[in-house]
Amino acid sequence: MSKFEPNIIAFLCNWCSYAGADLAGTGRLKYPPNVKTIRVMCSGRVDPMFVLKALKEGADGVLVSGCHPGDCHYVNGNMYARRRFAVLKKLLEYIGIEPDRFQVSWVSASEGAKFAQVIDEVTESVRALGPQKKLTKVGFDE
Amino acid sequence: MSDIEGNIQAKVKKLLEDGMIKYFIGYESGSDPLHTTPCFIKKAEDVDKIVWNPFCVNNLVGYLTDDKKREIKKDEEKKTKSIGILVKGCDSKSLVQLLSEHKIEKNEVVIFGVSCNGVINPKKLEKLLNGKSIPLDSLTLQSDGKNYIVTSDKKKYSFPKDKIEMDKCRDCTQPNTLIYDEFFGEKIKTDAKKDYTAVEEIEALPLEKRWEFWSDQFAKCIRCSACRNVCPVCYCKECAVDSADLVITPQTTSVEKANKMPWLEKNVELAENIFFHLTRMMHIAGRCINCGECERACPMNIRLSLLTKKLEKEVKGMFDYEAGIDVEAKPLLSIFEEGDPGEFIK
Repeated sequence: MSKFEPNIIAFLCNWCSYAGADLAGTGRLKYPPNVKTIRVMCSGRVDPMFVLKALKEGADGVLVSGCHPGDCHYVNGNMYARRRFAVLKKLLEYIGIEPDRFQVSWVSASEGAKFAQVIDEVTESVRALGPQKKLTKVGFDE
Repeated sequence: MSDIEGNIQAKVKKLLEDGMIKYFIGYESGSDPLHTTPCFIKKAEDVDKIVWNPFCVNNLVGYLTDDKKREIKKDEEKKTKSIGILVKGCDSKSLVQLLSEHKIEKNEVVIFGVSCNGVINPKKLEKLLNGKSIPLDSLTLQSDGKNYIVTSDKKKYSFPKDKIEMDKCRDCTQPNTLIYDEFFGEKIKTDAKKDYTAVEEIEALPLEKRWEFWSDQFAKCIRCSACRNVCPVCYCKECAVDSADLVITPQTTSVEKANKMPWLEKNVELAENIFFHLTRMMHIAGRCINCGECERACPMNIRLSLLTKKLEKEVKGMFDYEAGIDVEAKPLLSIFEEGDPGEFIK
């Protein structure tokens, strides 16, 4: 347990957060390598089932990141996402899942530095929580 | 009570004789005096079967969408006639929800509204009756509305109303049917407020205690899907949690595989159960009207109403939205406001 490295799944929207991650890369910004990125076309594409499935398959934390409100490439996909995840977050907390297991952020294409910082924060908060066992299916091995 | 029953029977008889409805969905006596069971009256001579009493617990609205699923196959006679249905106040909210989602159209149903004093939870009453080993002959609500009088072998026993009625009736804000074509009984006035104490008690627990409670609940689940099947707003022909049924053969195309993601595995274990229940909750968020059918149908007595109540509370609190009130309303998760809560977002 001395060195627990969290496994984090990040759903990044193609137009803002993924480009932001790209910018962080081209800008040679350093951020923890714990995040596995899944590119989706819009944060509105992310079904709550994606999040639950990731946790079920053994993710220690899940991050959904999209464009800032008003900046969505599809005009308002992220606004729908915001509603959906507000409800999901309340439900997860209600059944006793640590709130930091599931996080949402807005990162624009120009915010490479913010992306690195968000990943930093998410990784640190999930690391502090330790391995996620509650929602992970039996028989999952590291 | 009996004159409501009589009036309903007379009206159904008339509508069936005139050919206005193809059948009527109501309640008939069950196999024991503590239960009623849904019935489908197709012939005018069968109307005597219809009963209306405090044991009419089921939400019948779900049968309307079941009907649609069947009718898709035989298209001809469909749509020519509407369906008569008896709808209590609480159930009428799920009917309004289905109307607002255009799952049913108003001209497809003849709604029999009724005023309801609350329905009895047979499990609770059974417990009390077994304690005194009383067989039930008849049951009446006392005129002050506080106690039920059970008559058995010419002796009378009184049970307080709030001890034996369904939990949902304790804070009922909708004793009268919301929209109706015919109304039976006298309208009841109520100033009841939604009571979220049970939810708040859980919210107040520390995280690990909450997890303890809910993991105990979800571990009981045998994933029989009774909660989904009984739910009036869970009407999808293809359900995300059924996707495990896909058998992959060499002929299975990648499209089929992609469309039938195995979200859920068949084994019954805590993680899969939680996935099932949370997914269901997300799918009915802003659509669930808290009729309590899922909890009633659950063979393992999982406290699903605590989840649906929580949904209702959060949806009201965060978006000031209530399901099943307005036929014109848009579903909660397909609309948004600029000022939706976003403080959880980094």
